[in-house]
Amino acid sequence: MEKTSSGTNDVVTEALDKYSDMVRRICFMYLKNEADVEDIFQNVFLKLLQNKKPFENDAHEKAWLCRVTINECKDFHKSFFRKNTCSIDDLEIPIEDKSEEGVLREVLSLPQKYRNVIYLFYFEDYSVPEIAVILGRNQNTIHTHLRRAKAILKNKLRGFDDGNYF
Amino acid sequence: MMETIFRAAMNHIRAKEDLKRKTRDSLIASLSTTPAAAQSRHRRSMRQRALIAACTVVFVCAMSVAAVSYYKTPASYLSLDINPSVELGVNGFGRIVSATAYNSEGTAILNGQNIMDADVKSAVHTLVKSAAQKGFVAQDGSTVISVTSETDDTSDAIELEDAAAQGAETAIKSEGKTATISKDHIPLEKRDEAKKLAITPGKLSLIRKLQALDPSVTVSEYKNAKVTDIMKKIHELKNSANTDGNDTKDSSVPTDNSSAPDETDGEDTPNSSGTAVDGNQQADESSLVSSGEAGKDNVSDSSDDPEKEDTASSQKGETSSQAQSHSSSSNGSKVNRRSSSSPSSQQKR
Repeated sequence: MEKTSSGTNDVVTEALDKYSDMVRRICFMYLKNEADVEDIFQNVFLKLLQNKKPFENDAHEKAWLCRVTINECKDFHKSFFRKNTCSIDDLEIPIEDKSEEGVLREVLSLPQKYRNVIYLFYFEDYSVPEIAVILGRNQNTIHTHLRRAKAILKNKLRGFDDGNYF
Repeated sequence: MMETIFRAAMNHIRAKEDLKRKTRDSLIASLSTTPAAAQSRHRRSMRQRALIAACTVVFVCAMSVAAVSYYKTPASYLSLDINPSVELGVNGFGRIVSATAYNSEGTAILNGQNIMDADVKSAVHTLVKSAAQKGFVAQDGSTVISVTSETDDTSDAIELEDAAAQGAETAIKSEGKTATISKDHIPLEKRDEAKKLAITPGKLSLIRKLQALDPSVTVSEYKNAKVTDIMKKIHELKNSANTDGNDTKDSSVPTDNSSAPDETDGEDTPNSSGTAVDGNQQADESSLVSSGEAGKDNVSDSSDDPEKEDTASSQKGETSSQAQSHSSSSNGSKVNRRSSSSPSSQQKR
């Protein structure tokens, strides 16, 4: 994304309006703390605005941003200074619907690699080859992760609904 | 079905306005900095990296230098005396890091020998072998090899002594000779005193023992003497003290005698200061080790001493008058001469 000295505000606002929800959701899949999310937000959007390499199209830009956000979250988890962690049970999910909250909680309790594919496949509607490119993994690996994630959720959510899972 | 629920749930997750505002402010502040400021920041960051790199290099170099200097610094010393007198510096890893010859014979046995970085046992083996090949070890087994550890750590001292004694023993055996190996240990502080006198601490320790037996002995007199001669002299003085000492104790009459250091070719030189003899005798005898048949003879000779002492003690009553008469009649003139030069004798009197 190119920025001009006069239109910095507009560029920043446009970027935030366009991608802030997506970045927030990826952060939600990784981070449990609102203050941590703020740091990731600033880093991700700063990288987007400082990026000098032009994107081929919006899809390319979105995929790039997904990858950068996931990397930032992973780096944040690896950070030496990050010591405070909280469990899924302590996490406040701002959803009133019990079934929605239950499903989300189960997805969040999945291993990280499964969470990624579930989010990108079911919410962002990326195909397996696209997810493989974004995550830099083999397509077969993505297939496997998707299958295993579904199996875990099916097992955990048995009796939760009418049995018609994913 | 679940897919729909998941989508609906995720749709509730949105970036709050407050979060967007904070991010916007932060981004605008970051992006509005002038290129010069950014360049300056970049330069400062580069300078910091260079500084960190330099510090790392300095730290690594300092650690390397410290490690090398620790390796090269002797933690303890080993004094090897035959009469070639050599002092070996041993580092904390038990390796030889310095070798100093204290006389020309020492230089001769060190010459052409590479003992640096060798362990104590093999270094002593090499040097004793070199000494034997150069004729410093007598065929008749009369030679005494003294190994003295110089360290403040007793366990280290024992290890050093044992390793050195083993090295000397194997070297003597490999040369088909016999010798007596004497082990001793002195604290490091005594090394400075020996250095001032330009002799090895091991030899100084032996001379001190000799001085304890015969206070008229001076370091300079025995500075260049063979360890064998010093040991022989010590044994002679002890043997004579065993017979005279009992008498001296009982009668409280000084029976001190002196002998010129050069007259030590097996001539008997009765000595006084019986208490000093007893104390040193114990220490010296316990450190004698043999490496051959002749050596065994030496050991058996020295190990006989306590028995003699015991016998002498048990017969104290019987022999005291005889010893007194012997010392006072046959050495009467020497007693007088020594009594003036021997404060310990005077004190006893």
